Amino acid sequence: MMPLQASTPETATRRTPDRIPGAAVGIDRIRKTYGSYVALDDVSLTIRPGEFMSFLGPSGSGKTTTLNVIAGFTGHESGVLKIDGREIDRVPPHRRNIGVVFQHYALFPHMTVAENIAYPLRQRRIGRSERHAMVGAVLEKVELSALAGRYPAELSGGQQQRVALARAMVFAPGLMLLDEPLGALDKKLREALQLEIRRIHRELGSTFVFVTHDQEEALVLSDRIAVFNKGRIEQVASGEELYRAPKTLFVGQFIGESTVLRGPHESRGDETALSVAGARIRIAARRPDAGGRQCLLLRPEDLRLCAPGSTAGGHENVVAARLREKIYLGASVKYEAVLTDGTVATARMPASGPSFEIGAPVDLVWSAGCGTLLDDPGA
Amino acid sequence: MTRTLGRIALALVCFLIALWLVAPTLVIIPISFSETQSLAFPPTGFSWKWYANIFDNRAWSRSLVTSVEIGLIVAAVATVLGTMAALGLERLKNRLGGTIRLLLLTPVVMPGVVLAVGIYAVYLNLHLTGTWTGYVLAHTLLALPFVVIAVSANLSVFDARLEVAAASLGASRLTVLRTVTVPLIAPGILSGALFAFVTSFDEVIVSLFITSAQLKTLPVQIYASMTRDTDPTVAAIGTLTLVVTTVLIGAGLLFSLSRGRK
Repeated sequence: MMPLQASTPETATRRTPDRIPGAAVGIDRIRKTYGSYVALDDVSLTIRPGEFMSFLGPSGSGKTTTLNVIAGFTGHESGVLKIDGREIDRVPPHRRNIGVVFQHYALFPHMTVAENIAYPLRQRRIGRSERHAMVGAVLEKVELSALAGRYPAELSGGQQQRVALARAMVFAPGLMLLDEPLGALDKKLREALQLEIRRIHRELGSTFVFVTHDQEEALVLSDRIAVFNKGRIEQVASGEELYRAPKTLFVGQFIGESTVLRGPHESRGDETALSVAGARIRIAARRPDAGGRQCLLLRPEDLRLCAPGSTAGGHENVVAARLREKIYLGASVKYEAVLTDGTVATARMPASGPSFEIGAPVDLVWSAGCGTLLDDPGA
Repeated sequence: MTRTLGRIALALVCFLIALWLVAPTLVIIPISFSETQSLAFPPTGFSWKWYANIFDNRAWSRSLVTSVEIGLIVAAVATVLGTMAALGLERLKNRLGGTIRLLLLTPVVMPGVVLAVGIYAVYLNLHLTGTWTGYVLAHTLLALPFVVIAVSANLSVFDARLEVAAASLGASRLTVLRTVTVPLIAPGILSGALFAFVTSFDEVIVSLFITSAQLKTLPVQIYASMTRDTDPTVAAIGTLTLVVTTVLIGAGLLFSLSRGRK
């Protein structure tokens, strides 16, 4: 059995959760099924000490199940789960010493804010005066000192979630799991709490795992993001890498806006050629190992709109399209254009550039170095 | 004009129904103060002697104490067992759970006499008639469904995710039960306990079968007294019970009201 961290003498005498060493999490080929439904299909992942890792994916992709497996709420059929190198598969949730924040707050309605936060400290047999000091310190950290005597029902949603956060971190766990903690809050509050969570992570030093289906939230908070899809992890990388160099079409389309061009391809030297909507496209990339169909994923800022026939081609790709939508976004304008094969392309250009009208024929132009060549599973 | 008439008619009907429901109970209050040994209404004269008789007459005082004692034991046993059953059934949400729940609730729908005959037959072989154990077992069986129903009703609105949260904060399953689950379903447990006590205190059919000269509950004593002679002590006991239950239920209502306001 694993001892509760805060109950050891060294940590028990610590008054506030100052910087604590973050825990390393190792997930090795974890599998979980519900009948014939595979919730987790051999998921493997390493989370570094002190890292802020987000689990991002659509609902039912396995991100919350993975979190529940780490917390010990859900058992798994096979695979190994390690925290700081120690196997914890058989350790019950109450001995894992992990701080968990739930989307629905899960505050005890019959206890005041202070009693809620003191709860994990009581379980660790921390003395009264010590407890009082620790609760006070953590309440200060989440700026709720004035509400210590209130009951959860008397608090707003944002306040309740800050209490839940305080309760999960008051016992200084090396690992914090946050399951869509901001899902029930409105946009403004969500953004404010995102910054607060970032600050707390920085000050605390423990490892954070944050489940969300909101890619923007994941980008704001995370060091790295694990993108989940259908019970598997598609890619683990920084937000920038996921955007610039997605490894799969799913990741490319899930993160940010994208245009996907499909067509027969052939490799020549260091280049790949793709036939799209009657045009021949050159891509300065080659995937020698790629067998099946390929597609090109372009970001809105890669694409440029020009008047038909105004570009000579040369080193750039040109595809004819018709403008379908034009959305003014302040600093930039977003255009949607339809190719002759029905593909919808999204381009974003500075608002100061040339303007085009809806319904007009345009040329889509981009350099051969842009975009990512990917396997096309949807073919 | 017609609206006022309608309102008056409605008030009158309501009053009559209330009177019809309550009057038979209230009649015993004046009778309990009767001066003569008669259950006639209206009573003649005024005296406290039937109240004094409860405590002077050994048969009355002993049966009253016996009933209260058995009721308290039954309330304790049935509340513990019933709460545990309800907690288990809440987690056993399949066919087996449904069957067990149904079995637990059968004493409510079973005709009392049928049950009493069965219990009597079993008790004769086991020499349980006229014993404390016999009363407590039989009454617990009858009280259990009420506890299960009351606690289950509370559990169905209890947020089980709080138990998961408590576990993540370091509480063992037993601690979770003690510090989170039980405090939050306490209203159900309390009303279950009250129901259990009342069920035992009130029980007459089974008790009549398993009674003995040495160990008699109050309802059995009342029944025996009524069939033998006319003794206004019955009315005095009834009035006493009425006052105690009214105070208990009133206090319970006030308590839940003040909690609800918080």
